[in-house]
Amino acid sequence: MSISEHIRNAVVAGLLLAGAAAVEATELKIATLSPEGSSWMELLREGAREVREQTDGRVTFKFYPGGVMGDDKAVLRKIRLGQLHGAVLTAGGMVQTYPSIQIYGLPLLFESYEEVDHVRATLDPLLLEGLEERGFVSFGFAEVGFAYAMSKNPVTSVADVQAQKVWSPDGDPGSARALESFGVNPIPLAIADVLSGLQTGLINGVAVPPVAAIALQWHNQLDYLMDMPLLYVYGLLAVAERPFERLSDEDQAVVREVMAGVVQKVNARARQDQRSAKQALLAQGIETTRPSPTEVEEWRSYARRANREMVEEGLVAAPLKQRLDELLEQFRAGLD
Amino acid sequence: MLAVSGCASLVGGAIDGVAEDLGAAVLDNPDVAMVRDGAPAYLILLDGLVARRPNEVDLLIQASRLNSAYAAAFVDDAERSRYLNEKALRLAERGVCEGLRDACDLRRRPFEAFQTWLAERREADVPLLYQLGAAWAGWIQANSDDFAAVADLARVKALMRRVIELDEGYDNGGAHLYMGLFETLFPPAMGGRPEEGRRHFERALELSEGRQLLIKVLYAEQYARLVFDRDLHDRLLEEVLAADPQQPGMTLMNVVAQQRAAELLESADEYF
Repeated sequence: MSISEHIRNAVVAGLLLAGAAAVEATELKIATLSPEGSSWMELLREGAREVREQTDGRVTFKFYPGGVMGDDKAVLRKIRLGQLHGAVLTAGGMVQTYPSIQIYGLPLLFESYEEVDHVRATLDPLLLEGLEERGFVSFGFAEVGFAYAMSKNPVTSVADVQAQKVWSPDGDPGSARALESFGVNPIPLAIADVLSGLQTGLINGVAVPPVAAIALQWHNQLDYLMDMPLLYVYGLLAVAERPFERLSDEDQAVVREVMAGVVQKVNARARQDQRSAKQALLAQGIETTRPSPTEVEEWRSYARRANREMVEEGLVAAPLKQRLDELLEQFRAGLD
Repeated sequence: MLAVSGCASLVGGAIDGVAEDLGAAVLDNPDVAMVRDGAPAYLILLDGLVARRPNEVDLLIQASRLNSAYAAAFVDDAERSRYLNEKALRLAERGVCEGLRDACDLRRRPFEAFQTWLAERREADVPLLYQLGAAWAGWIQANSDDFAAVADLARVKALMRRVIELDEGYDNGGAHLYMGLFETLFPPAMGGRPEEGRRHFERALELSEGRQLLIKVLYAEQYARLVFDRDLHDRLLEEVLAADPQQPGMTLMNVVAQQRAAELLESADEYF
């Protein structure tokens, strides 16, 4: 064999190898509501670059930001059909697949972020396991923050809130149900119509995290914030098991590690953002109100009943809820 | 919000002819590299003029405009960008405070009182209202991780809406360009109104008669990407690249717009 043939064979072999690598390359298609330029998108793109480098291009990501693939429901349908492989979803969006995922979002569960951290350290891994049993590999939960009641009129008691015209997101039975459990008849509106709803007086109260109130510029139409966390809002990044398992074990490990890092960063940034947002609301002249101890107890008794019903109806797994209550008790006892 | 605040033409009737001529020389210059290197000297000169005549409205407004333009076109460093945009906003605030009635504490005024004040403004006030809005938008953009800054966005929107009511053609429909931007910051599921944004971009295109290339760049970057319309995205950007950037008062920003258009086309395969 001449030298030139050697070289030619080497080149052909090289091309074949390159071809084989190209066939094995997997592109994971991920949808999210977060727009380009948001923390989520910036960190996801950064993570995708890292995965591509560490897997020598065998695993790449394609993102569909800004809700171009539709809402959580549409995205999950596309994942089932194999048109998408994963998504950043709200916990509420995953309820159909895994009802217990909404456990952190039960009303009046947490009193502080310290409690959240204590509970999540133990329960997050259990919830991630639960998701895997239902065909989703998740890289973790990312906080959005506590939702607070914000309104044009000062409110502290359940009766005060019942007398307001409170918004609930259109097509979100979970939110409507949570409000109804406090005897509130919510007024459903699309998010894009909330600002004009507040301006015209169609609604005069919302329950959202401060970051959302500012990003959507609702704060100028609101005068009071009731300083009691109503519920915890969070999202997650998940990929369907089937496409994920097509990756080699090593590549799976890379994706898990890098994307878990992304979620942790989003989570940490959200904590800072919510502090800055709450301060900004106060700086804008929004006043805080505080329920009296009697009023707090009334709020809690409504919440306890609502949460008990969720467990009784099987919407949240009883053992998980029990574990959560134990963790909270443990934490609160440690404070005494 | 990028380079928008730099696109404004000069306020007519600036008393200081030198400042005006120099400003035009900066904004009309197609030699981006030379302007980038030379502009700081001119900005320092302007600082000196402002220090000598601290109450001169046109000078304050022009200094605000040039500082925003320089920051938008040439400054990538986040800290410098915050500094320059802060400076531009302060200059605009001082200009508005000197030039308009009852206008010295607009940032702190309750929102409702701000709106009432705005409703009383007339067409003659448009140049000041517009530059205040533009500098404020640049400042919010430079501080977008600070919710105290983001909280001001509704005020900027209100300013631009009022400019549209009073004189929508001002600065080649620049107020429509800003509104297009604001309506496309979020997808509909998060409260954005992309179709409303598209109407503003289209109107800005009509009003500028195609001279202002930044409109198509932002139309592509904000709207076409948000609704995942690659055909529109690529068509708009290719039109920008094919256009003649030399336009009175806009040459510099048009050249910058062409650079941005090329970057966006390059990253399109990754995005779409």
